[in-house]
Amino acid sequence: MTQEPLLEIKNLETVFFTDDGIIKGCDKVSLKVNPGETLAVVGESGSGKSVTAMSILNLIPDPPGRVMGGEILFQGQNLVSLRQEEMRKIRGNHIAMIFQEPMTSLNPAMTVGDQIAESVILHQHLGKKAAMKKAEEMLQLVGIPAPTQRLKEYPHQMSGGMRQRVMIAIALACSPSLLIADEPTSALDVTIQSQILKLMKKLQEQMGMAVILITHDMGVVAETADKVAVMYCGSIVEYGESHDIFFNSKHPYLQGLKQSVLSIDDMVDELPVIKGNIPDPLHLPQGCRFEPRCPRAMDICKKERPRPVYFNDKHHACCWLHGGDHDTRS
Amino acid sequence: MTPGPETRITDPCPDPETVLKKASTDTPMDTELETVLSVKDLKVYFPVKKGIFKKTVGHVKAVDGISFDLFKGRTLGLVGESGCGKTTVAKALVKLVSAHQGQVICQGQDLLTAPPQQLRKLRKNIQMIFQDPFSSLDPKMTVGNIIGEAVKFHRPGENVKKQVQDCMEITGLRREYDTRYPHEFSGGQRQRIGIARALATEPAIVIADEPVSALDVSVQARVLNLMKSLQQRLNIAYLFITHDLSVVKHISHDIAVMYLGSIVEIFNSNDLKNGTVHPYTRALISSIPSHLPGQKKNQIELTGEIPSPMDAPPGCRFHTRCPHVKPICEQQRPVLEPVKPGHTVACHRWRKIWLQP
Repeated sequence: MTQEPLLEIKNLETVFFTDDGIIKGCDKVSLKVNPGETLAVVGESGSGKSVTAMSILNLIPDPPGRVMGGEILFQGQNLVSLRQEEMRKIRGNHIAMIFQEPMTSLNPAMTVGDQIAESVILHQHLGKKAAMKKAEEMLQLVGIPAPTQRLKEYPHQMSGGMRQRVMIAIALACSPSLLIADEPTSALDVTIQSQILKLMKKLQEQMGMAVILITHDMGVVAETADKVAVMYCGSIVEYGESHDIFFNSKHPYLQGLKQSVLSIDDMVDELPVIKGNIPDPLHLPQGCRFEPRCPRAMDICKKERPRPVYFNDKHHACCWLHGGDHDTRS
Repeated sequence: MTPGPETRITDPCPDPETVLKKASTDTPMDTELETVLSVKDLKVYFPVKKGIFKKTVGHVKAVDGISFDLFKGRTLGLVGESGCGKTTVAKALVKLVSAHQGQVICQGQDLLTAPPQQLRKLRKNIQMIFQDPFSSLDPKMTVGNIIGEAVKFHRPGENVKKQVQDCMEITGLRREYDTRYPHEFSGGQRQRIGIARALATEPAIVIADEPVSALDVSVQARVLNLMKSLQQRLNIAYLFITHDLSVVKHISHDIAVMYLGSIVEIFNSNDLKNGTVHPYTRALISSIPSHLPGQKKNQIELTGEIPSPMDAPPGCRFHTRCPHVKPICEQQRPVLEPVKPGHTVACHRWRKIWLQP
């Protein structure tokens, strides 16, 4: 089964120039998203999840940041080399994004209806009236009761869950083929979170779009993802289908991460933890980035960065424990 | 009604009782528990003012009559969605907001009516850990001063530097870091500073308001482990406020669930998985994402959102979203009734609901 990927990132390098030195936000990130599937990107804060998403949309603030290398191929087109005007036609139209904070990412001075209609008018060249009709349809679609009245309301008149629904409505108004959702439910309560996740899943099936879901919550990943990329210090340390990631994980970081997730099913006296902290991005370890915290670190881990080792055609991990390049080992 | 030893009634309804007795073997003996803080019918109302004369037109009933006890060396977890009044409870207990009505009894004295001098002494016993480790520490003060401030005030005449360093040491910070400033620490370390500051007065009660919500999972586990081991060593009573049910399960002995200003259920944390009765508690538990992919669960979908506390629905506060609603729920407000020792619920229909798994 050879499917043309919708989005393919090859060796993406996004760099931030700070007063103290250069920080690599994305360090040779490669991933693929097929049409209609959900890729979850997980990792702790500072691991480069959001930088990857922002790079795709060309939203990295420059200065201090810049995409220094690699390719982002979307439907065969390299987004890195596009000019801003060309990018604007894709952003919001073919690729849409939902941001984490439903409180701050809506314009407080515009009605909800106008905000949804704005992107429809811009990208689909509809008239104001038709755009408002579309906005009403979208509000209905995301499950907001009484959409005709709600259209005329301002964001502050709505609750957090409602605002996140409005964000989704804006993102989906142009029927994008790729939706990037950056922590879409982290600011919401569990009961609302499960409503929103269900809604996203339903709409994804209806519209056949692909989703990149950025989250730190392994529970959300377990419920929604087809494939998972685990990031640590700017690079992907393990990648694979959701089943492999949960039942057959290889990288000690992922194993540790999964253990420290709390569950209501079991009770332990002391929770297992990963020792140490994420290293300072200005002074990253020379070899494997996880080596100082790794319970199974070896000599080679200090010296050289591990290359991806494949366990099946999709599942791979960057860890010396699983072999890798034999020339460098001996 | 509280789950305190004196109010635990043993024979409310014979039928579910017998079923429950078998399941409740791990409930600790009531006689061992020593009450350190007792909250009775606490109400916190915020006035809503309108017009040029700022006339009070209504009240937001943030906390509307809640009662619970804290016991020595035990943790009560307080959970609920945002806007249900969890944080207001915490603030009312340390008098950061003034309560409308009710009693908070600590060492035989009512905190809410105690004269200022008395209150200062009582405050030594109750300390608070805040949610955001980035905004709750003064960036212009060294860690030594942040922690030392409380020692100087509440424990005069003691060697401040030594006490500060001892506090830092038990929370896993290095003694010599007391001259550093908060920005030099990571989120997890800052939360340790917050914990050290709370422990500096040797309190009997620590109120922790979402202490791990701003932390990454791997750091979260470490802070929870620390809080647990400190409790075992120092015999502190925690009131642990969180919206995260899996966190609360790991730290708490008992769990109280709040909805729109009132407690709807209090139960032993061992019952979290299968022993809860209130439809809201059950819905909350079922909406936790499953641990592994492909796990089937029967999710109870709650429709709608939490109503505004300004015009809370009459009768049972939850009736607008409840799948088991009956006419009585719209008229009469349920009170906490005992289900079994250590388990109370405020629901008109719990006996029916209990029999459905």
